[in-house]
Amino acid sequence: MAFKGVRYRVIKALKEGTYQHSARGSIEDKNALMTGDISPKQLIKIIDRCNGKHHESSEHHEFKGVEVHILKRDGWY
Amino acid sequence: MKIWYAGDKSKALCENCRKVVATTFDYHDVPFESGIGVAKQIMAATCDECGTVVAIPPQSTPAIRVAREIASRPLEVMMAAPFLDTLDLAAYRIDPSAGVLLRKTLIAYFVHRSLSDDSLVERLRTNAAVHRAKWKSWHDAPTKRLSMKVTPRVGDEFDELIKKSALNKTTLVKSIVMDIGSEIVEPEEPQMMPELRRMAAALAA
Repeated sequence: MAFKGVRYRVIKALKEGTYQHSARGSIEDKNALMTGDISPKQLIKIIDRCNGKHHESSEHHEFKGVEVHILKRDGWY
Repeated sequence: MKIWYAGDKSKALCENCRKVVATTFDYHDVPFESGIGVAKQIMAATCDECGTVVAIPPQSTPAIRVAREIASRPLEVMMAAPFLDTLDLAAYRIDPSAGVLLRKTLIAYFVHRSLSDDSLVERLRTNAAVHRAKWKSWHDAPTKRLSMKVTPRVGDEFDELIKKSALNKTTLVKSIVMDIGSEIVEPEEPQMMPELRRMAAALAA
C-alpha cells in the first residue's frame, strides 16, 4: 500500500480507537502509545508531519503475507 | 472510541502459533515485560488456539498507566562503561541466563543490605573517594546509561540511602557497583554466591 493510504488508515484508526496493540503475553513497556506516554492525538500530529521519505514497508519477518509499515519521524518510530 | 466487551471476537498475529489467529476479548491480568508488576484485570484479546494474550485495545491504556505508576519509578544513571561491565559481570556470574534482569535486583539487594549496617554505608562513602581517582585512569572509557524502573519500595530505600550516605544518586550507584565488584566479581569463590543464586532462582520462577 502506498504511503498516503497507510497514513490515512492509521490516522483514522487512531481517531476511532479501532487499533490494537500487539502483545506477547505481556505489556511492552516501550510501547509509548499503549502505556499512555503519548496520546493518540499527539501521535497523529507526528504522523501528519510524515511524508513518503519517513515511510518504509516490508513483509513481516515471521508472518508471510503480512505487510509491516514503519514511520520514523522526530525520533519516534 | 471503540470499546471492546468480554466475548467480542477479533483477529491478531500470535507469535506463539506463528500465524494470524482468531481472538476473544476478556479481562486478564497482564504482566509488564520489564518484570515489574502486573496490570490487573485489563481488557485483552487472547489467541483462541493457545490462550496467550496477543492484543491489547486502547481502552486498557488508562489502567496500564495506573498500574505502571504504582509499579515503577525510573532510576537512570550515566556512568563510565567499566562500572556497567562490572555490574553485568556480577549478574552473569550469579546466573548467566538471567542477564540484565539481575542488574536491578543486585542494586536493590545491596541498597537494602547497606541500609541496615552503618559500616557498609561508611564503605560506600570510601568507595566514592576511591572511584574518583580510579575513574580518571580509565582513559576515554565511553559513558553508558543504566536505566531501570524500580518498585516504590526500592525507590524509597534508595532515597534513604542517599540521605544516610550523603552521596548523590550517580555516585551512590557507582559506589554500590564497586561493592558488587569486590564481593562478587573479584573473589574466586564469593561468599555471597549461594544466597544470591537462591535469590536469582526465586526471581526466575
